[in-house]
Amino acid sequence: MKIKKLCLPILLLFIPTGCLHSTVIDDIRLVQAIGYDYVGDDLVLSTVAVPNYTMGGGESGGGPSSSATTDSFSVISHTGKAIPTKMQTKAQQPLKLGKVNTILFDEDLAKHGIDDFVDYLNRDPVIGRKLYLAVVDGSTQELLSGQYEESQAVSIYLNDLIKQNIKYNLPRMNLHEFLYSYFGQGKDPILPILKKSGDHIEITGIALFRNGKYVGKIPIPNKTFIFKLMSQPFEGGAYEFYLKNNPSAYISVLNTGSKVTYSVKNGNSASPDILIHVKMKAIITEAPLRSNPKEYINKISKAMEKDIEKQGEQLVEKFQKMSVDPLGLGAKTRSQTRGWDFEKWKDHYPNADVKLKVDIQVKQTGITE
Amino acid sequence: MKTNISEKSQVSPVMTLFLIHAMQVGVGILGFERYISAIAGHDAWMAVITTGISTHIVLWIMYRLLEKSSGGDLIALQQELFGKYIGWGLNFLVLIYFLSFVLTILRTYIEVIQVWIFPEFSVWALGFIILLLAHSFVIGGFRTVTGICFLSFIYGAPLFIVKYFPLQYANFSNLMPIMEQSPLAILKATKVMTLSFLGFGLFMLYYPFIKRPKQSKKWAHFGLLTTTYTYLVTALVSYVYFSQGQLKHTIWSTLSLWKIVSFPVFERFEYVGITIWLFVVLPNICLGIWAVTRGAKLLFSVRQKIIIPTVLIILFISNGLFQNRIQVDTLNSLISTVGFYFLYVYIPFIFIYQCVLLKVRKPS
Repeated sequence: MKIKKLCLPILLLFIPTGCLHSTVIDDIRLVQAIGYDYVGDDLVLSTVAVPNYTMGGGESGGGPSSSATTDSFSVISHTGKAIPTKMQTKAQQPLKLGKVNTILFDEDLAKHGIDDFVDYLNRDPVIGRKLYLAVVDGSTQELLSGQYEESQAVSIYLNDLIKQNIKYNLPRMNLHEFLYSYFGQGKDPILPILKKSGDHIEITGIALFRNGKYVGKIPIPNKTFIFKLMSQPFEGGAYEFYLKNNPSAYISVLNTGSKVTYSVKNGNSASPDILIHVKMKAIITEAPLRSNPKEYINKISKAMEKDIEKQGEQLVEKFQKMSVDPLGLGAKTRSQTRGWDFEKWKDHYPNADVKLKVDIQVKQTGITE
Repeated sequence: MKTNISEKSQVSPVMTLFLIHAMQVGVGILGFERYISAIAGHDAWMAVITTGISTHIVLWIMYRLLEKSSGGDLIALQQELFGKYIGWGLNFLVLIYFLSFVLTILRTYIEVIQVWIFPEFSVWALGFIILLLAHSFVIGGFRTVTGICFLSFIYGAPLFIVKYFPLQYANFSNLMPIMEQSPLAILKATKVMTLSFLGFGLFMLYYPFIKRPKQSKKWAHFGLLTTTYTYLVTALVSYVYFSQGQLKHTIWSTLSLWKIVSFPVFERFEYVGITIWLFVVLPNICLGIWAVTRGAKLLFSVRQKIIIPTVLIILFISNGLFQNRIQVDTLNSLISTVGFYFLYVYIPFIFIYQCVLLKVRKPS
């Protein structure tokens, strides 16, 4: 009796199974990187990089090893947002976007504004939030179809490159962070700048955006290190500077933990006072030997504090002149000011009096003294 | 009209916690943040607390109402207070409301599946599968439905831990300065927020199924507290993770939040999350259907065996009729408005009415 009762529901369950398209992993191609190049009025050259996994011989004795080469397709179309239909005509199997991990824009396109693309990326549920956006100095098509010394697929190479740099040198920037600043008030988005040089790809700086338009850059490495110090707490990253007189030498230190706090006064006035306070612990990795290490270390840290303060303030001044706010000074001011007005802040920002104070505590000098 | 429920089909007082909590956490929690922050900005999380407090008051009223009535549930109570005919009409309206409430949950969850996972899946097919599943629980009776409420609590709990991932991107300064908004704005946000807490209205129908109702009080309030806590953490995490402008563009903030979660085994957590979410939504649907059939049984004096298929077919057809997002949104806001007046205006009203009535009748 019980079995009879169960039969009907179970049979009924089979009816809807025919309703869906299934996507079997072997029958689709997963796009991992997309590049957009500016061609002309409303025309965009889109390139996708699709890793092509082939089974290796398993020579290491374990399981079969796999290596990947990259296939890339490019088409010119009016909207490059999703994969244009034209591109599907070039692919052997349907292209799917679920695993995209890097999206590139060339400098021209970035200068013209990437708002449409941002809207698309925010809207499509298929797009993740941990993927990286980047600006490319040069053509993204060339970068994605290039051959590199690394044996991996270019998309994985790109993703790893950005990921490890974000850990040590660059501030955190993935799609979520971009959307956060793009839609939020009082902070402007930033992206890394990539460049193809020979059979390598390198990061050459940080691109500054204002309302989805690329307006300027911070060059690597010292400036980006200072920028990262000011924007978030982190560990790692080396700073190199030139110590003048007695004796003149290049000193390099490793950051083993930094903290940053902001304090804002008169947030609503025409020239708000903002104090950025950075506390950094450091290890000296490269310095000439001295007979009196304690005094010498003191001297180094004092000189370095001065140096970072000066350069950091110059950096902020540059931002103010361009009226971009990649540090999020507006958002910081909002959180410390009652009745903050975004429209007024836009006028006040270039006149804000921003001071940077750095405290460096040298922890070690390595295994020598 | 005394309803005597045999002890065999009653549940222990502890289960009240899960019954109340499971019914309150449904589809609303996936995206309530932007509605309250549209009114009260970054202070909107305070509205969650004030709403939580208000639910405790309503629950207290419900207990008072039910303890003083001889029948033990809302159906009997309304007939007792308003006479046979008006009472019958009001009961019928209440059942229609609960039915639409179930429909809203079902249809909204189907919309989530359509937008996030299977855009080509038809509403009819999905509705069919979910209702078939719900049917298998509802025919088991109240104890089975309580079981699924309890399980939903267990299944849903791991989703809470996942909030750890977005916290790595937290900007705690988003919450500052505290109390920048006027208390009025927070009160307005409270009204909007109550919509996510509505589910516990069903409590008035399954009250007679709880053993030792006096002891259940404590657990019922714990249930509400758990819900408030859940919503509060959800809201706070969303406010530190998203910027206010970004939140404005996000329909389902909890689901968008899952996009940042990553495990080595699966890259995109939202697909796993939405699937697990079925077990969070299922008790809403089951308990709702059960309550409607229970009410209808008392109202029409028909056996539940006949009513369950009828209710399911009504749900199945009306579910299929909603075809796009705008209709679903309209349904949502309509049901929430009705629900708000039911819990916060009608329930206090009959409470006062009952007090007066009892006072008048006493001397005679």
